[in-house]
Formats: sequence, structure tokens, C-alpha cells
Amino acid sequence: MLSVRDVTTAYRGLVAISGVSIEVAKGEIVCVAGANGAGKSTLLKSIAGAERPRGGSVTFDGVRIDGLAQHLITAHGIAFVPENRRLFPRLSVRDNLRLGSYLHRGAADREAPLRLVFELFPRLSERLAQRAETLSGGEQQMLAISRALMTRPRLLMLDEPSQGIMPKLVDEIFAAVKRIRDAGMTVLIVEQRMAECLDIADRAYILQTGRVLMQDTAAAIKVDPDVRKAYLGL
Amino acid sequence: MDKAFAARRRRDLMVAAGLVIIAALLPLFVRNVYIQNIMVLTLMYTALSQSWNILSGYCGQISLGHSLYFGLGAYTTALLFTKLGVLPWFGMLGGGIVSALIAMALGYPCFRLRGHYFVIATIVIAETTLLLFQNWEFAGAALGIDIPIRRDSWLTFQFARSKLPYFYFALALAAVAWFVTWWLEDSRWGYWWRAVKDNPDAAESLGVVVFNSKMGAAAVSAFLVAVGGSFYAQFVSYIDPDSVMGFQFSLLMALPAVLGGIGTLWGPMLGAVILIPLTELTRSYVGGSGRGVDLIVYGTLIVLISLVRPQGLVGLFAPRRKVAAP
Repeated sequence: MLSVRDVTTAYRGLVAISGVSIEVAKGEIVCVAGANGAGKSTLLKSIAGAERPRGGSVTFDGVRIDGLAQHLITAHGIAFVPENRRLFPRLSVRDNLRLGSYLHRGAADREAPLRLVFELFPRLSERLAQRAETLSGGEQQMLAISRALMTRPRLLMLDEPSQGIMPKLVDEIFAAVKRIRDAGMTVLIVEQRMAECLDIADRAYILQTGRVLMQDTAAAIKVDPDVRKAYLGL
Repeated sequence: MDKAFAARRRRDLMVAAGLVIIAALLPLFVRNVYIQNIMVLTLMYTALSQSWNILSGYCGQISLGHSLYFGLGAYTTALLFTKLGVLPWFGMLGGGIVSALIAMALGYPCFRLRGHYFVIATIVIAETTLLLFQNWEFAGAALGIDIPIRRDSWLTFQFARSKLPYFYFALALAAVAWFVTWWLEDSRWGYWWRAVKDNPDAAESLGVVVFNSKMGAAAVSAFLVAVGGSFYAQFVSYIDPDSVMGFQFSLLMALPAVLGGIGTLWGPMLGAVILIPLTELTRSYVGGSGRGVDLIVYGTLIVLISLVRPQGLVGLFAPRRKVAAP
């Protein structure tokens, strides 16, 4: 479904990822893990069009999307929830959700993903009239994911969804990710909390200093002795 | 999206309809021509402020140069009527279209500016245009244009004997400006504008074309303000650059919205209903010796509102929201 080949992205000459290739098949949850500064976020941004890769190609369902503007990539069916979430803080929860849905023309099309959203995060439905900035960190993350779902994506990309969130809500969010996949979407997720992420993922990549160090099924990576030592602290 | 929201919108519409009916009946009880005059002005500023609020309140592009569009509306109507005999009704439409086009032409360079720089640009452009009109012989230069008085008629939209036709037109204009805002609030454009105001970068990533959204808001806003200007030209039947394009109009469009609640549906109306009668009354009662007392009133109100209720008065009327159980 998504195929990233030899992508290199640099910030002002500073290479963040170089020659990274990953594949994501339909219906998978793929986890990209690695230490700080390994290039995980850069990889997602390069796919989403928030950064322009310097080399390599990104193909989504057979169409090349590297170099397209960000909103056109969203229109192709890739939704991206960046680390800083990019919500509209002074707008209500309802308005934030609505703004995700305006990619689609018909009202019915726009409302359709709401059922899934409220099923996943019932607490959002109680807070529709509240301003986004008044939500807790976890609720804001839920809203950011929900807004991404309102664009009716085929591929959902999450950058560090657990960051700055209390542990109970982290579990809730990971559970939601699984259910999003069960609802027919594909998920590419970047996480520092590798243990939890590997629990729900099918496959995983480990990045180190801008390159793919290792790739395997999540189950195999979880029991790999080097990984356990270096990343899981076991 | 949810029932509470749909219900609130229906309630807003019903309240507005109720207010229009009450306002329409007011002249039955108010026979005093001076008070009727204040009512006409209040309704006109309600409409103007409501239109200003679309660009500056919802889309967040604060303009202090909307007197430009007001003046363009007035001049287009007056020039078309005196030079070509075109009826004011077509003049209104023409003025609106001219203003909307000019708003977009000016928006093209200006919407690249953000914050204070944009505000300053709007003031400078309006003041420059004022100077141009003061020196434009064809448009009467500083002397302005006398609109020739004909028989009272809806055709030429002139009424020397009664204020009531003007009153009902101003009421209709205020109602239309309110309804347009109400309708846009829950439309694609309304959401885009609020997104542009709140976080333009996030808006862009969701596929909102920020620049085009601002252009749309500017066009709608300028169109409606110009119709107000056309109306004003007919109402006073004499215009000169200072009396339709002066900076005070830009202020008088912004202040009601700021007072009532900027970027809200009811704010401009609430602000205008308080502010306009207050200024008119202080002007005539303190008048003569105290030209400028009305300005002191504005100043005091603005200081008070920014100290006590920077979000505007409109929230005072909102029903207390129930706190959701944890």
C-alpha cells in the first residue's frame, strides 16, 4: 500500500534520514521505533509532505506522492497526526472535528466517521462545545486522532501519540489504534514507548541515526536480545 | 453534528426573527423623528458592524479601513445616479460589486501581511483613497455630490417626508447581514475562516487554502458594507469624501463588534444597540460646546471592556453551561 524507497531528507544540509526504505501493507499496524534523533518524525513528515525529501520515492497505492503539497497528500487518503498535534486551540472540539471533514463534499460523507470517533473516544462526545485548549493532553491527542479520522484516511500516521500523556490514557489510545485498524484502516506509528507499541503492531522497523537498523515482525523484534537490551531496558 | 448545536442554531434564527418583528413594530410607538433617525443609524451600524465582523471577527483579519468600502458604495450609487441616471437600486448592486472587486485586488498584496502590519495597511489605503476623492474633480472633489431631490418614491429610493422607508430598509439590511453571518457560520467557509484565524499553519495542512479564504471573507464583507454606504448616500442625499469615507466610519464599524463580542453572531448587534444611541444622544445633548464628548464615551467604553470583559458583552447573555459530570 505504502512504499518508501531510499528516501533521504535533510534540514539545511543536515541529513536526518538517509536511504530509508519501508513497506506498509494494507491492514497492518507498523511501528517505527528508535532513540531520540533517529529520524522517526522526519520519516513521517517526508511521507506526509510536511518535509520534502531530497531523494528517493514515496508511492501510495501505486501513485507517486513525494513532492506533492501536504493537503493533496491528505486528499490521497493519508492522514498525519504530528507530534505537536496542530489543533485549533481556541475553537471548539466540534469545530476541530468539522475542519477535518471538509475534504469531502456531501454532508453524509462528512458525518460518517463520527460514529467511529465517538465509539473510540466517548469522552469527546461529552466535550463537543468545549474549546480544544481546555482539554487534557490525552484528550487533545484523542481529538487530533479523531480529526485525522474525519478525513476518512486509508492510512493513518501517528507521531508519538503517547507523548506527555498520563499512563491510563496511553493504554486507551493504543487500544483505539487497534480498533482503528479493525475498522479497515492501516496504521503507521512512531513511538518511543516501544514495549506497548510492539504489543499492538504487526511489524516494526528500528531506526538508528537516520538509517533502518532492523526490520521484522513485532513478535520477533520483541524477543531479540539486542533490542531488549538497547531499547526495552530488559 | 450534534443535537445541542443544531438546537442552538435554530434558537438563534428564531430569536432573530422575533427581534425583526419587534423592531418592525417599533415605529408604531415611536413617532419622534429624532428618535427614528437614531433607530435608522443604529440599524445601519448593526449591518455594517456585522459585515465588518465577517472579515475581522471570523477570519481574524482586523481592518480599520472599511470606510473605503462604505465610501465606494456611496460614491458609486451617487455617481451612477447623477451622471447616468441609473437608479440607486442598481447603484447599490454596482457599488457592492466594485467594492468586493477592490477588496480582492487590495487583499492580493495585503493578505501576505500578518497582524499589525495588515491593520496599518488597511488604514493607509483608506486614507489615501480619501485624499484621491478629495481631489477628483469628476466626483465633485472636496465639495462632494448633491443627490437631486425628486418626488418621494421607492423607485429612486428618496423620501423627504418620512424616515420610515429608510428605517425599514435599514432593518432589512441588518437582517440580511445577520442572516448571511448565521448561514456562513456553519458553512465550509465559516469553518475555514475560524481555522485561519486560530492557526493558519494547521489550517493549511488540512487543505484550507488560507489566502483564498481571506479573499472570500474580504469580498463578502466589502460587498455588504458598500450596500450600507449606498443606503447612507440616499439617506443623507448629500455626500462628500469626509462624510462617507472618513476614518470615523472605520471605527464605528469596528467598535460595536468589539464591544459586543468580536467574531460572534450577536456581538455586533448588541454593541451597536448600546453604542450608537449613546453616541447620538451625548452628541446632541452635550453638543455644541462638547464636540468630542462622544469620543470620550467610546474611549471610556473601550477601556472598560478591555479591562473587565475582553471577550465582549455577548457572553453575559449565554445560558450557563452545565458542568459535565466526571
